[in-house]
Amino acid sequence: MSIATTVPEHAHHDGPYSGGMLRWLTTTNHKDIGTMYMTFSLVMFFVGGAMILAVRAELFQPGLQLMQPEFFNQLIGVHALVMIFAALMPAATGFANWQIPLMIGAPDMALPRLNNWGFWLLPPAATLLVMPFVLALFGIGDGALATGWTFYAPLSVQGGLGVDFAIFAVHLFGVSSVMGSINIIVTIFNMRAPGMSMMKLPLFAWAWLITAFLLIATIPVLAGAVTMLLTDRHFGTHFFNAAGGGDPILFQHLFWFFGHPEVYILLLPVWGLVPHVLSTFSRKPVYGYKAQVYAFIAIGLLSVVVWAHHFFTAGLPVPALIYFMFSTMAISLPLAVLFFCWIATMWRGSMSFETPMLFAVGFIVLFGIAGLTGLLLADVAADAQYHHSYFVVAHFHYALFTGGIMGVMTGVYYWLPKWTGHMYSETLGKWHFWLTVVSFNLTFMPQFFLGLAGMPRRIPDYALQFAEFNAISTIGAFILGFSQLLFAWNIWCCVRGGEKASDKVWEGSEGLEWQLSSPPPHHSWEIQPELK
Amino acid sequence: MSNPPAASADAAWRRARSNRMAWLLGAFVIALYITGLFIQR
Amino acid sequence: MKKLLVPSRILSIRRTRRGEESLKMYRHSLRFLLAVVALVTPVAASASYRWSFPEPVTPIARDTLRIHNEFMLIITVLFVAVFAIMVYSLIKHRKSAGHEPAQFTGPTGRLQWFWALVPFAMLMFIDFVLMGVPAVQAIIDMEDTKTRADMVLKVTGMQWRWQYEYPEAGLKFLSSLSTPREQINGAAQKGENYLLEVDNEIVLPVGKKVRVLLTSMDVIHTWWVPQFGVKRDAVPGFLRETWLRIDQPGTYRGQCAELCGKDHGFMPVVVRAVPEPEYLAWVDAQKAKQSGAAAGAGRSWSKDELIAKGKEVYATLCVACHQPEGQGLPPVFPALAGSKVINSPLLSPEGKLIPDSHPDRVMNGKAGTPMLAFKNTLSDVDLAAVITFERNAFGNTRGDMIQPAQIKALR
Repeated sequence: MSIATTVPEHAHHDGPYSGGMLRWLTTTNHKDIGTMYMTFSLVMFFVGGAMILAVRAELFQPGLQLMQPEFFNQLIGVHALVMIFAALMPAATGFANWQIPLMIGAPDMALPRLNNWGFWLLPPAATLLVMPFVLALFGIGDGALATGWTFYAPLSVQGGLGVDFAIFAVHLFGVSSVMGSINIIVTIFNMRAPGMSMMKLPLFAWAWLITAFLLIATIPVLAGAVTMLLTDRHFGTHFFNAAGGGDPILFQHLFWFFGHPEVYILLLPVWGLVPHVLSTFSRKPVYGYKAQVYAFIAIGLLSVVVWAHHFFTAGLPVPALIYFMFSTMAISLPLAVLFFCWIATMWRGSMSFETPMLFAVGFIVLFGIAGLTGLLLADVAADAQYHHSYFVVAHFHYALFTGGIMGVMTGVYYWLPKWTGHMYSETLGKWHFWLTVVSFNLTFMPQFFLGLAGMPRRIPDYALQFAEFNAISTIGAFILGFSQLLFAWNIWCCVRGGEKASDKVWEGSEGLEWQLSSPPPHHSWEIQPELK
Repeated sequence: MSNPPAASADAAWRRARSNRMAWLLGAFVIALYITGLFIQR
Repeated sequence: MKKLLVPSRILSIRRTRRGEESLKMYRHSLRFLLAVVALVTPVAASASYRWSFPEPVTPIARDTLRIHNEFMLIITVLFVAVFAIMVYSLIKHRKSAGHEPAQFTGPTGRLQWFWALVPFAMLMFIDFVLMGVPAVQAIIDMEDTKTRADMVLKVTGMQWRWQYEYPEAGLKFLSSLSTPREQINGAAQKGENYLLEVDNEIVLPVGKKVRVLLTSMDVIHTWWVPQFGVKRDAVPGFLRETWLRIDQPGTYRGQCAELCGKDHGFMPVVVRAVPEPEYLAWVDAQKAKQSGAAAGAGRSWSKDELIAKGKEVYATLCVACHQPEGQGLPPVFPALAGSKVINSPLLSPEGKLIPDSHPDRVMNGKAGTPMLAFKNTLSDVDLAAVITFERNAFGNTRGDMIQPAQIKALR
């Protein structure tokens, strides 16, 4: 896409700002808010990571060495909630905030104050999630929720106050996501520069548009489900209790109606930014722009009609099993279109392998494993063996770590020079990449085989035949965890200083954001560019 | 604290449209939530 | 220039600058591959390790393994084919190799449309025909629980053990983990079937179709025996079903597969499959044992007998929550030592049940908590024994006792 633009002359003036804490508390600037989302996400990534390292340490050998099962159950559930709601989603929203106005030629998001509220709901939400651990230390309550992040009734009806805290945290996370989504939809529809039709919208913006619609359609369902759980727990309702005429499986239907689109919510922003990176480092225009847009839409629509594949063993009727199997498999088709377009973008390009490109290529390969093992899981008959075993744990980590987290890392390395005005350390970036990829596979590849061998998930201790692969997985996990410190250090140094970054930063970059300075001026596109 | 005046007619139009759209989407979300609460077996 | 790991003449790459770059990449990837192989070899060498499902012993398990192998083959071919193309591109289409970028953004001409659409069509065929058709047949077979079933086994999940019933034979018993706590805590050497052994295993006849009915007393559990290829949720308040026909004698082990609370990892399933005559003999022996126990309910028991029996029952069923010294894990699992409920009158003066009394709690549970209604799982003797034990242990000195016959009257 080639665009002729007019760039305003006084692009470097600073807006009126009070300094210090008050600035961050009251800012309505999309770049500041984006920075806060990214910082919050990085911190919570380490919090969730620390929890799971404790879990993997316990799983290093058979037997209970470090903790009792009750605490183990709390750690695994809170790890997931933190990674999903407090690390991945805020990172994706941070990207949206930073990049969408820059990419569409807007001075800021359409609803700047809503933007601020959307972010500031997050620290209280994260606090609510983690607080029960602290309260338990003082003898109040018996810890955080111990039902896994999926909150299944009736176990969650039984649980202690950790469940209530998690319910309120999820409500806050949900409201924050909905606010952000409304902002993104409204911004994309109303704030595009003149001449930027919808079919000239950058792929990242398209991906977030679909994501935002998915969020506003499914977060209310999650909110409803956990509200019903709250009333079952405290106000005498019996939505999920057979004795009162209810059904525990109703909870699973409601939860996964949100839960399945949620994984595409986590992945779509990454699928939106990867083509930008591939195009830049292949020095070649994006292949199949329209196909990718239609694929995003198809995936969005399909994602809401496949939810029951998360509970094939719950006793669904045969026609339902067959339907959900086929609809789940259908998602592989638009996904294959995306893979095709990514590779076709690289094909006959002129590639160089700076860190963002390394992460993008690594993502394609490893996320391919996730998608292909998803096809296996879609098969109802075989799923009887995979369901709730370590096979599933491996599958979704291949999807959400290599897809979600490595995708975020791709975007961070790609855009950090634009945001900060400095280049990060390429050496450190390459070390980070290789250590991450090798240790990630060391951690999760054995878990596929643990599942096949018969190891269930969410158990703190296991039979002796599972010992070797658990040990390998734990070693990989610790290397993986500590390697992320390189990432944090690289970001810190880059924010503080480093080689000056040009406007364009990368030789092959295209798009409106690369026409602004690095870092961009205070009001981004104060005068909107005109696209010819 | 009220908002600063719009920079141009175009900006005013965009602002009004954005506000309307935002309220509409928000109402949709709340309607979905309340409907969900009435789903029973 | 660093020494190359592989002499260039073997690979016939000319020693140009571009050739050096290719060799450098090759050298790095070779080292990387060797590192991975070095890490994985010790594990691969341990021959006891599994890379696929355990040996199947039912038709469903065999079907599932076949489907899994077919699908694994398909996805491996897809993965290798697609990424071979990508790796080729990564090597060939590099700036450092001097490749100039093309500018195409979509298919131009018929051939390119062919390359774009044919993989899409192939994938549709693979998904919906190659994978889908065998899968549908397998699902229909798997869900057909009633045709020509020879017997019924009822499985009831509870926190944290399984209860099994053979309705036609009138048998009912609990099956709990029998691995001693010392092995779990590392104070003793772990046995061969660590965490996969129980006090009362179920026995099933080889070659007969068993219709398995499942339910739960409290939260959702899942009954899973990998070698049977069978996994089905046990949902409280509902009846689920599945079936198995075990084709070879042997002992088969599985676990609960749905997070159900703190001892989710400690409620295994053990099934011993034997030829039918042996199965029938086992059923008779179990029936005799049960009626013997029931007969015991008629007579009068001494306090010491009740306390001794109660101690066993406590150690199997109650200790997980209420702990070895009765100290409990408050606030969720109350302490029995010095408990107000225990240190209160046993029965009303007319011998009737007092609400919220000790017998009421044990027999009827407490709604909204993990405390189950044990009257459904324990015999009169066991109930009388454990109640008597608790009233005379952990520093409780009520001194009274309750007879099995009194428990029976309270039902």
